[in-house]
Amino acid sequence: MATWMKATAGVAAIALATGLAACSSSTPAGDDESAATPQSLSFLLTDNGPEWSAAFKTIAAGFEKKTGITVNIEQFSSDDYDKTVETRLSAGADGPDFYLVRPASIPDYVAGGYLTPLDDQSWFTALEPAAQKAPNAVQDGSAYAFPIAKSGNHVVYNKDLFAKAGIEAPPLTLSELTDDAKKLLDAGVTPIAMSGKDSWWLQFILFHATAQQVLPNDPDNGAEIMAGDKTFSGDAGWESSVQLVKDLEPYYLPDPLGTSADAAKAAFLDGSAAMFPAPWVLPDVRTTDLNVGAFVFPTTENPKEPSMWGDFPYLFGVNPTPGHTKAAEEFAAYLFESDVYPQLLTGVAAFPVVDGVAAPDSDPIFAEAQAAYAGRTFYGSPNDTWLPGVGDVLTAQLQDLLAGKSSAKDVLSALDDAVADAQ
Amino acid sequence: MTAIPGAAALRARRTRTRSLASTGTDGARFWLAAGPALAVFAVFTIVPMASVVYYSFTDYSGFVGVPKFVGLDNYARIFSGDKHILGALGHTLVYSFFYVVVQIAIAFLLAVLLERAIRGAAFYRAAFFLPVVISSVAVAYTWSFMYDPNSGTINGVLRGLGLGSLAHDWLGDYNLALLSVIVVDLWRNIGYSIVIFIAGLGTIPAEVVEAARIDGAGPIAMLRRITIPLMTPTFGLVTVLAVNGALRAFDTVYLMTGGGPGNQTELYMTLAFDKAFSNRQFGLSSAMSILVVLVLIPVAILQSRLGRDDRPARRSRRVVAGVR
Repeated sequence: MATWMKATAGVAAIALATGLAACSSSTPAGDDESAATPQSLSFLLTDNGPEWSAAFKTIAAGFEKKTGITVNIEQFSSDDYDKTVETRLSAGADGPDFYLVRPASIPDYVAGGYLTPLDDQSWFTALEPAAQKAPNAVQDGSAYAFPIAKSGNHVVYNKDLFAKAGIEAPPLTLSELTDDAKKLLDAGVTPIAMSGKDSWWLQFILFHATAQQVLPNDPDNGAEIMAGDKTFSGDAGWESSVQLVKDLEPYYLPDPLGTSADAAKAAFLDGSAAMFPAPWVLPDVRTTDLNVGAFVFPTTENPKEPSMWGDFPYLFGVNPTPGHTKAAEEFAAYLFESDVYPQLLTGVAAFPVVDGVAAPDSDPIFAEAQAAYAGRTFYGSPNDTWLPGVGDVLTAQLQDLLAGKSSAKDVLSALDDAVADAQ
Repeated sequence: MTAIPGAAALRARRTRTRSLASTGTDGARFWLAAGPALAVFAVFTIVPMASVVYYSFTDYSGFVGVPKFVGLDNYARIFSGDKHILGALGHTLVYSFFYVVVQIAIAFLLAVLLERAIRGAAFYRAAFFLPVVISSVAVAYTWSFMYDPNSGTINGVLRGLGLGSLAHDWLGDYNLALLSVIVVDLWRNIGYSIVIFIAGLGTIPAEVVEAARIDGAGPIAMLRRITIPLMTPTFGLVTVLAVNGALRAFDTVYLMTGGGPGNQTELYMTLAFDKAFSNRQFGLSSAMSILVVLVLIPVAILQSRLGRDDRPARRSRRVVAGVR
């Protein structure tokens, strides 16, 4: 072989070896209590709008003023967040110190050593009991993640459109909901700003139903199914919940499978749709002159239904790998300080998980929402505890359901197959 | 037989290269210059590829846990009749047909038209090429808005023209969604093929065309007997580039539909991506990716050989003889 070719191969081999060594995972720095206080902390979270961002930046600035530690906040879109954070966690000592964590990912993160137990922290024990046991947060008897707030997923409705359709009060039962929807249709209004192109959005109808028809009877339903102790197919509550997604289709936006969630939001904001089945539209509503109210989405015939879909939407955890555990825990404690926590709640527009703290006045509708929540037990999203891949099958199956390509039974059967595949 | 003009120059260049390499100082300079690039290539290409090959034989989740060797299980699963994988393969084949056959046909015809000295030819060439340089993200989001069944531009125009019956749920209709995405990719990439064809048309010797014209060849005969035969290498190059692009298609589908509705636009590479990052089946995803590489290797070799083809003169003489 020509000399130059041998030499080329030699250089490439040396570069390869160098690259392999350089690309190997950083050894965890370990947490050395005697080490100097870090200059900065890395904080990863989703981007949930300007008010959310502003709240965290203000809090980070306050923490830096108090401790001298800079909190470097990085935000990513919800769609890409999981992939981004996992890539960063895999970087070892260069990973984030403090980060938003999704419940379904907690078991893997704990197994990988990317979350540290928080049970011994005084600020953690001050959280309300349910918050100390957020979905999947407790693994092997220790709590590895904590919520900063709780939120009920109520419906935001356009009061003027309801009045135009002759509806005097929001519905309390499923029959009332469908009757009101028909009145809205007759008045030329799209009843529910729901669509199916962004498959995650279609789940919102389903989760309102499972909170009232599945989880009250079996709060550990998700974990049991994932463990193989139960199936989706054998559950009447699941079947009726899935069927509801199809039954309400006449009241969604036209051609729902080709309409995005953004288009659904736009339809509500421009006054052409009457009900938006999630509260996160409120910041955008306040940029319009819509007259809105709140009610709990009814999926049963019980006007005093004691359950509703609500959860701890934002869980956070501390990553011990970079070695800044104490500083990160100090930041977590700072979030709950008496002059900081209300500010945080206003920014995230959610309700407190610490007793004695007033609900924020983030939005004029909050008082009405809290009144709707009164006496109800929150049940979270059922997919919080699902194995990887099962949720993707659900979203695709719901689209098939809407297209008439499958039935509720088919959807549940496909979910069972997905669980078997994931185990 | 006339000697190939470039052969002597090629031999001289090879001799010079050997002299360079054997000279100590010049050789050191050569490696100093090439070393960093080789190092970058090794780190960012060879190392990741080697990792993917390794993980394809394991059950690695892609995030936590120690990968366990599972032999050919991942590869077996791909060929086991998994309906999800088969569906994605089927969609990829449909996509490839349009991306390769239809795109080449349309691009060639447009190139023949644009190669003529028509008024505004330069403008048209730029207009057709413009989508190639636009970000795929911008293209996907813009076309998503255009395809919206209620407020999108396409249905809006159709309804405005009284053609409301032609308005469809372009990305939500199970029968139309894949074609709708294919249209976007064709629109975006056809300019690239047109440019290559125009360049190829420019290599046709004028004397050959003149000779054919003198012999009475009309436009159709010119196209059939002169243009297409002499454009064979260009057709070959465009075809392999199109096949390469079709098999690796990902971003338009991922951004516009995410594989929906109901997996109707799921392509092989979007499925491989989901397997890795949503399903935490990194080993299976790696095996799927390796198969694509194995298919693309002969395509790349063919592309390389077509790029080095240096026999236009002989081809011209055969074509002229055929016309006569």
